[in-house]
Amino acid sequence: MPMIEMKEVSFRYKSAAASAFSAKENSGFVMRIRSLKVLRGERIALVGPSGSGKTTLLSLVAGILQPDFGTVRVDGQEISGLGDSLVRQFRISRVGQVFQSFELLDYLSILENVMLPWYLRRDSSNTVMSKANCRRRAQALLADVGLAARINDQPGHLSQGEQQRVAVCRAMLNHPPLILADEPTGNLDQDNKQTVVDLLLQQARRHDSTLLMVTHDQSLLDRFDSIVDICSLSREGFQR
Amino acid sequence: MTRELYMRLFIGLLCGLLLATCGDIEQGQSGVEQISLVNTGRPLVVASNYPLFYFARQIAGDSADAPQIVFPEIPDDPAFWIPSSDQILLLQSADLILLNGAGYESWLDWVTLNRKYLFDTSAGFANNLIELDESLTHQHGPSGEHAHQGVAFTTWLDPSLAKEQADAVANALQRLAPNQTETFRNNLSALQARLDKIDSELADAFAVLGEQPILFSHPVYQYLQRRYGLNGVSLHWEPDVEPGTGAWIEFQKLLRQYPATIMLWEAEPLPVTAARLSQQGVRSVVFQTASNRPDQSDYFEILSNNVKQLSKALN
Amino acid sequence: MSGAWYLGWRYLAFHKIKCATLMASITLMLFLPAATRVLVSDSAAALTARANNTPLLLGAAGSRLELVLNSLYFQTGQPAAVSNKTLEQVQATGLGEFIPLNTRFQSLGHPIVGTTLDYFAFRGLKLAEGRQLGMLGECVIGAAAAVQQDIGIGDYLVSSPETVFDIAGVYPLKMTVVGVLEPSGSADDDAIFVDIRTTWIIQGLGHGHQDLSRPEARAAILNRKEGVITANAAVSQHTEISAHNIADFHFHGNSSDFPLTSIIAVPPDEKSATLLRGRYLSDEQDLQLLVPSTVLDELLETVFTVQNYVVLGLAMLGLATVAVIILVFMLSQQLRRGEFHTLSRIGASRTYIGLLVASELVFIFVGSTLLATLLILGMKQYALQILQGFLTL
Repeated sequence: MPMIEMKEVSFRYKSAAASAFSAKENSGFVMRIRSLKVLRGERIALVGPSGSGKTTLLSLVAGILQPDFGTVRVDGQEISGLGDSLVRQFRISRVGQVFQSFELLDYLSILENVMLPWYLRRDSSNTVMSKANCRRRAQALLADVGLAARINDQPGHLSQGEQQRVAVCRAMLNHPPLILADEPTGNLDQDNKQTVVDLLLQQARRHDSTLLMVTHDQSLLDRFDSIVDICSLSREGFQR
Repeated sequence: MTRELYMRLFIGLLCGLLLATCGDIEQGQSGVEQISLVNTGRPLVVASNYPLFYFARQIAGDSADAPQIVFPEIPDDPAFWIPSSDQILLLQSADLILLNGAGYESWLDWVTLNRKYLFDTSAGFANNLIELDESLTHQHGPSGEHAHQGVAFTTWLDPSLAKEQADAVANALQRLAPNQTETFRNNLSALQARLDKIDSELADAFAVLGEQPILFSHPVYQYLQRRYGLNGVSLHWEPDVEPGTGAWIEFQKLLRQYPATIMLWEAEPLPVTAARLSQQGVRSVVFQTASNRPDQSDYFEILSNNVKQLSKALN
Repeated sequence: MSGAWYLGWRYLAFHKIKCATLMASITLMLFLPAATRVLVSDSAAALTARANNTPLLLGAAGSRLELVLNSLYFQTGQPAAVSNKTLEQVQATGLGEFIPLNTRFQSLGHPIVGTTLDYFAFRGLKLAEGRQLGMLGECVIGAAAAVQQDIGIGDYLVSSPETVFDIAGVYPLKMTVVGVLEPSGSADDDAIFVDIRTTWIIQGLGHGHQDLSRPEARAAILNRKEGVITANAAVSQHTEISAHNIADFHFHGNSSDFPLTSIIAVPPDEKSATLLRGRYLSDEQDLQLLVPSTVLDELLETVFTVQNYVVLGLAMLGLATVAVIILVFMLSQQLRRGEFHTLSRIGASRTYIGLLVASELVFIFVGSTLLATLLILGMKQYALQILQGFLTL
């Protein structure tokens, strides 16, 4: 079963506010994806010009945006048309996200930042792990990235590279089968870029997670299993 | 002799009764008679001099619920008493303080007491007090206020005034213990009868003197003088102090003007003084004022003794 | 959803200054009007209780309020004096007990209250240590005065001179402390009590000096004529009274003319009170007999009116504060939009984010309310001490 499956998806940008999740602010622009199939464990680099809808595509996969037409299936679950609450729970437990601007909460320690998905859980969920277990897992993740001694530091005390590493740990807290990274190296220097991409790929391999990463950086493309041009998705679709 | 023995036995019995009923009295190290402040249920009465103490004891009687009459231990003349802090405490705890009045209690000027417990036994004859002719006052600056000496205060030496004071004491005790009024009145009558007797005896004794001058060693006999119409003159001699040469010269001048044959003393004068007076034809007679508690005897015994001494000297 | 409360708490803990400032503002907004009411009502109750316990007050005609405040609380300026003769006359009526007061002098900032032993029984004052006044020159001090001045039995207090350079003025008198009172929660705690005649000595109406009739006093005599010794200024006066020199003390002049500040009248029944009031009803008299509680009620009416205005003002200020707080919250939420966006992307629902915002509000308001409540309870507990401290300033 593919991890991601999109068929004849069409998404119209409603207004400036509604298009905040993508760089495109023109209302009326329609993004079309004829088909997209990503297999489990694949590491895909998503490329395309600015404003071509890469972030929108990630948002559609994550369930943040709902398509106007077509279907989106992730990990066998059709999320297009799913209720908001279910989608959010799905997203917390099944999808790890890494953002260009790290987006750590400055008032939490880095350990608490990594545990953030746990804090966002629904108490009634049967799949919630205990706080102690969550804590142990978060500490282990931070140890993996060399930040074990700084778990009580605030994000503001870390370098950009370190912050992005913390963000990767946050994304991996629930061992998600799908990792979505939206230009995670966009704000990093060359060394840190390599480090972060290596980290993402390592985590993906370790947990057999599917990685879909948006990037502009050509030097990173050879690390991925496939490179998908978003413009081609509307013409030909993509499947491996 | 027998009478004397009886008096001693009576006093002894009285003291015994006193000790038996006033269980709270104890002698302090300073010799001050201390009354503990434990409530005995009986009103506490303090007298400022011995005559008032005696009157009050006689009037109150000896019953178990009679008011407790107390006279503090005062080493010298009670007129110049400076109460100690213990004695002030005693005064403050009293339900009634019997005052002689007539300026006797100079300590009232500076002791802090509750005015409502003070009772002036001479207030009833305040208009009849003897103003002092010779007084030494002072003022500060030519236009400053004087400090006045006032009136003579040995009122009890006049038995008729002593009777009035005794009556005042009875009234005060009645207000304190109204249920014992009858007892007080009966005892008062008996006391006043005895005062009348002494009055009569003194009148008889002094009658012998007629217009003849009489000398007083100290100006404390004003009321006696007035009561019995004595032609008296006061000196300022002390029994235990030998007069100096100047004093004798003044005395001789006085004697020429007032050819007295008798001089009354509050206490036994020095033999040398008495002898010199005798040489000049003046006989010394001890006439005690009984202002303080005697070691032995009592008030009437003192007065009787005064009468006896006087009679002996005049006859 | 408990995670939202935790995140809310962590947010506040990180932004301590902002949180503290908001809490302080809200606490003050809640505390000030309540505290004003508590202080005023408790103070009024205390003032009223003392006034209610003082049936009648006799003093010189003039400011009623000044007479009451000075006689009951030993405060404000000095009312005109009444003579001791007034006391003698009113005592002669037999219409009750009459307690003189003379509060003209002070020592170390504490009022010296000249009075009689009746005052202590009247006010229910008990001794914590030592003994009662025994003679002139002794003093019994209130509990607060003893603590403030660190003074106990056997120590001395000196009355404050009114003038330094006027040789005819009031000279300081050294007074021995013989007793310390138990706390009474009233103005008596701050006072120094002496025999009223001691205040006359402080005033110079009485004094003690060497016996002018003795030869040693020759240098102090101006002249001696007809039994009257006139002393000059060289006579040395005693500055303290003790058992050794007490007999030297005397008063000059007629004691009926000596001054009092006021006289507390305690009639035994209503009939006596009415008769007394009738005696001093005439406007032509230079005396006034008043009911302290009536005078206090008039004062308190004004105080309560002022209190209402103050509370109204505080309420307006409170509204303004609420508006500012709302603005601060709105700005805060604006600043946190990015954070909320991130949370939403990760998976937080709108409800969760709403709870996060609400938690900040709840923590601050609940915390402020608790703090304000504690402060108000504390204010209630110590209202009287605060009032006394205010009155002694």
